[in-house]
Formats: sequence, structure tokens, C-alpha cells
Amino acid sequence: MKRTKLSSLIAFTLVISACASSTAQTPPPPPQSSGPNPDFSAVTASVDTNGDGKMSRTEWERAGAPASSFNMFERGRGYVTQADYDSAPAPGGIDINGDGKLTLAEFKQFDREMGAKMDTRPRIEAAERALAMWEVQNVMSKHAYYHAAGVNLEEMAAIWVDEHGPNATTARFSSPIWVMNGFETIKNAYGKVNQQNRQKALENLAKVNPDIEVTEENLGAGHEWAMHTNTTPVIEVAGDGKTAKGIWYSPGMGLMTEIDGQKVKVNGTFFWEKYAADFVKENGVWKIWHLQMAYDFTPKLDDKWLDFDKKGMVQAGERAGEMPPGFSSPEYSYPAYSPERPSIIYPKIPQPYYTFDETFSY
Amino acid sequence: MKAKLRYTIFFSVMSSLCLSACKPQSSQQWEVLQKEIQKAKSINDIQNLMARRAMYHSIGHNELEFELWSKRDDIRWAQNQGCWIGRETIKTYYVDVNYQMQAAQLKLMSESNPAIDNDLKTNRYIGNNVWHLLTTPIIEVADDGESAKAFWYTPGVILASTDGLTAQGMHMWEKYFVDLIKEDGEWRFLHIQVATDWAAPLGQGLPQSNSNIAAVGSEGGAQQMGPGPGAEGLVIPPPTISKVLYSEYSPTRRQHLTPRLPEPYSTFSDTFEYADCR
Repeated sequence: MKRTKLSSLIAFTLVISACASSTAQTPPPPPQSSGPNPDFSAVTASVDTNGDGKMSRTEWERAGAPASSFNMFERGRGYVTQADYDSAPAPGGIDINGDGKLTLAEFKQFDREMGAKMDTRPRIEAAERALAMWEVQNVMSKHAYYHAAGVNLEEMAAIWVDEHGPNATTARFSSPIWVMNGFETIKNAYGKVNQQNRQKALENLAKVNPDIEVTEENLGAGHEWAMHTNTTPVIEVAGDGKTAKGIWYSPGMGLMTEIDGQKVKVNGTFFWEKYAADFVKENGVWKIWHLQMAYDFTPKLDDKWLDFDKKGMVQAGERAGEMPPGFSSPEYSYPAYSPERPSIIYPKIPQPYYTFDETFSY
Repeated sequence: MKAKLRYTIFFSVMSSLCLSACKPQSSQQWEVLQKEIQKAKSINDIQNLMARRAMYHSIGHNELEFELWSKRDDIRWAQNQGCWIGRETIKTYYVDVNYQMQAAQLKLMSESNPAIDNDLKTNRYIGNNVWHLLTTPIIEVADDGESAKAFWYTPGVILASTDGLTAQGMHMWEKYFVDLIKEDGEWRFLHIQVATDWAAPLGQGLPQSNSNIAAVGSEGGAQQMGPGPGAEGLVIPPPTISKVLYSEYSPTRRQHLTPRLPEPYSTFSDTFEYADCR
């Protein structure tokens, strides 16, 4: 009877295992080493940039070489050498093209592939991921249309995290000059102040043309129109399907009304900038969690585009000055283009990740 | 023997448990996956369709664009000033008139520049480029997979020449609002509305009215397009229904989120329509 119970337990376990999610898989066996190690010289040459024979952690990280390998060989010295590598049997398959020489690219690719194989955490299916990428794109595009129409409060209610939800306090909106922290701060500065500005713009029109009524219906008249298109997307959805990250290039245009006595003028400014954002799924719907802008280039519509010293929003600080409550300064202020600016890729490009704790935040 | 029987019974019970607990679950999961795959593929197909249209349009190959439309008779094309309704109307406005204008323009250019032969067959596409890039997409496919709604922003540049020697250029910033349907397994355009926000000659500012401030909302839609250089006298069909659907930016333009952005929906009869002059 005991044997029957035990067999039943094993069988039950087997059946339950068979019923488990198809997305969680047993890790494959570790690769077997075979033959002599492939020549590591090319990796050493790529990593050891100062040529002192010691690959420091900084050099290793700068080269993007696998961190786990550094930790394995480093042994508290703060560096690794080619001899460390030569003295240990390399895993089979690391020399991907089989030419007997290991390149840095092969080293990284092997590490990525092995990392993915050993990660058995349940992941969303490829179909869900593909659809999620488009859903995230839709949300980002909606931001552009809401903002162009000047209805920032409606935008926040529709596509940002829930005002009263668990992500409200960590919501963030950043520029090179300021960071708005928390939903309430963003709602005030991006939403309510904008609404007041629309009201003022309409009132200014009404002052010079009394026939213009200051009504809800007429809001937006006299106010700026700013269309920030989004192009060139890189979108990564977390393996757990709960968050996503994206970066876009945004060529845009702002049209602004200028009233001079009884006359009116429209000025135009191009915005060449990047947008990056973190998204979080709330009740099955993607929402903006963190939004970040980085201006590159803002020439006037009718100017010489490269007249940096005189025209355009060269200093992207339209809200610069004293920081209101809830604001902070960014840790890094991305400078607009100038002939002296060293170019960097900023904000960072999203990389594949499993869960938000394992990646950076915009 | 008894033990064997017990094993058999046990496995039968466990198998049924698994069938009832697991198979329906994975079957449901499979259905969800199938829907997600179809939706993602449809969105990609729609993006491709709209980009294909932009590519044809960039050189003025409008008859190929027209082949991307639905075969239905109630298709609609709309601009700021109204709607053109029906296959014949749209073909005349969008394909035939375009061809006649290309012919007239080529004749004009060949008269000024002897290097350009007035041979429409080979030189039809000389002189013009109309780039309407597609950015900022919102694409929502109906739950039934039979229709879709889409939005794009299109910052564009138009280059043209009237003499074959010099060129003129314009910025053209517009939006597209589109309804699509699936016909014989392929996505096709049912309604397209193009909404112009602003246009200005390259290297210059916006045209300034230099007038007193008008009443809010009085700026109206875009003017009806003229026949173009060399094609004077050509009759361009007016909208089937004239109605201000959208206004270019002006100091007195009201700004609201119109038309509505695409929203998730189940079937086309449950949602609103673009290019709607009713």
C-alpha cells in the first residue's frame, strides 16, 4: 500500500509537471569542453586597452565583456590576465565559427545565448510580446497627439499611470533642465499650468478682439501647437510582460502665436529631440510611467538652421529657473548640439531585460 | 493484478483530471495566442500598406495607390475642406486629374528645358517629389479582425518644378486618419482623411496674414486645390460634400483632440468613422 501511495505521488508529480506552463523550461545541460581552448589573444587585444597585460574591471566593462567571466577569474586582484583564461578549460561552443580563435563578439554572443538558456523564469509568449510592442507604440503616439492638442490633463488621465494607483508616486517626467517627480507634480506642472496658459492665451486674444469669447469651446486659440512626432523606435518588453521601455527620435514643430498690438504673428520652431519612456501595465493596459526628453537641435522655421549662437532654443530650458516643489534637477543634463558637444547616445537605448528591477529607469 | 488495476484506474483518473484541468487551459491559451498573432500581423500589414501608399505617392504614381483601396463603392477620401465619395469620384479626383496635371507640367518643363522631352511615357515622373513620411502611428485592429482604424502624423516635403530648371519646395505637415477593412484576406483602405496643420515654403517662415485677429474658428478649411501650372482650365472635381473637417493652424484655431484617436473596439459598426462629412 505504501509503495502504491509513493508511485501515485510520483505519477501525480509527473502529471502536474506535464500540466505546468509551457513557457518555463528545464535548463539545458552545461556545454561540454572539448579540445584545447580557442586562442584568446583577440579578446585580450580588444579589452586590454592600455596594453599592460592586465584587464581591469573598468576595461572589461567598457568592452562589454561578460561580467560573470571577470568575476570567475578575478580572484580579488581587480584584474584578469590571458593566462587565467588559458589555464581553465573553455566551454564547448564558445568559438562560434570554429576557427580556433575567440573574438570579443563571439565571447559576448556565447554569454548572451548561455544566459538566455539558463534563465528558466516564465516569459511571455512571442505573440504577446509582438503585440505589446505595438500597444506601447500606440501609447507613445497618443502622447504626441494629446500634447499637440494641448489637452495635457486629458492625456494624463488617459495614458499615464493611475493617479491613485501603486505607480503614481514614482511617475516621472524629465527634461535636460528639470525632473517632475510623482503624478501630482506632473499633473500640476504639465497639466494644470498648461490649462492656465491656454486660458491666458485665449484671454489675450479676447483683449484685442472683444468678439472672441473666453469659453471652454474656444480654448487652444492663441496657444502654442507643438507636434512631437515619434520615429525610429526601439521598444523592449520585459520578459515578465509587466513593463516595457522605449526610445524614439522625434522631429517636431512648435507654432506659437505672438500678438503685437492689433496684429498677430505665427512663429515656428523645429524640435529635433529624443523621447524615452518606461511603461507599466496596469489592469492589462500599458501606461506611461517615466517620460524623458533630450533636445538635440531646435532651429527656427525661417532661419538659417545652423546659426547656433543667435537663434532657436539652443538652450533647452523653457522651464528653467527655480524648481517648484516636487521638482528636482536631473542627474545628467543632456546638452543641445553645438560644434563643441561630444556626441553621446543619451538617453540609453533599451536592452532586453526580464523584469524592471534588472534594468535602468528613465 | 489488483495493483495493476489500481495503477490503471489511477492513471485514467489523473489523465481525465489533466484533460479537464490542463487541456482547456492550454486551448484557451492557444486561442489567445492566435488572436495576438493575428492582431500583431494585421498591425504590421496595415503599416506596410500605408507605407506602400506613401511610396507610390512620392513619385505621383496614384493609380497604383488607388489599387490599395477597397473595391466597395462607398469609399471616401477627405481633406480639410470636405469629402470625395465613391470609387468613380475618387478615381477622377485622385488618379485622372493627377495624370493630366503631370502631362501639363511635363509639357511646360520641356518648353523651358530642351533636355526634357515631352514624352509622358518615359518622363512622366520628372520634376515632382511628394514625401509624406509616416510617423507616430496608432493602429487599432477590431477584435473581430475584419476592420481597423489608424492615425499617422506625416511631416512632409514637396518638391516641384515648373520649368525643369529650378525647383520649389514646401513643408507640408499633416495627419492621416484611416479606416481599413479586410477584403479577401487583405487589408484595404475604406476611408482616408488627410488633415493639414501647416504648410510653408522651404527656408521661409509661415505666411503671415498681417491682418486683424479674426473670430475664433473662422479660418475655415484649406482652399480647393487649383489645376496647377500648365493645366489651367482643367476641371478638378469639388468635394462631394463640402464641409470644414479640419483647420490649418492659425492664431485663432481652437485646439481639441479631434477627430477622436483610434480606441480598442470589437467590430466596425461599434465605432466611429473617419472622413465623415455627415
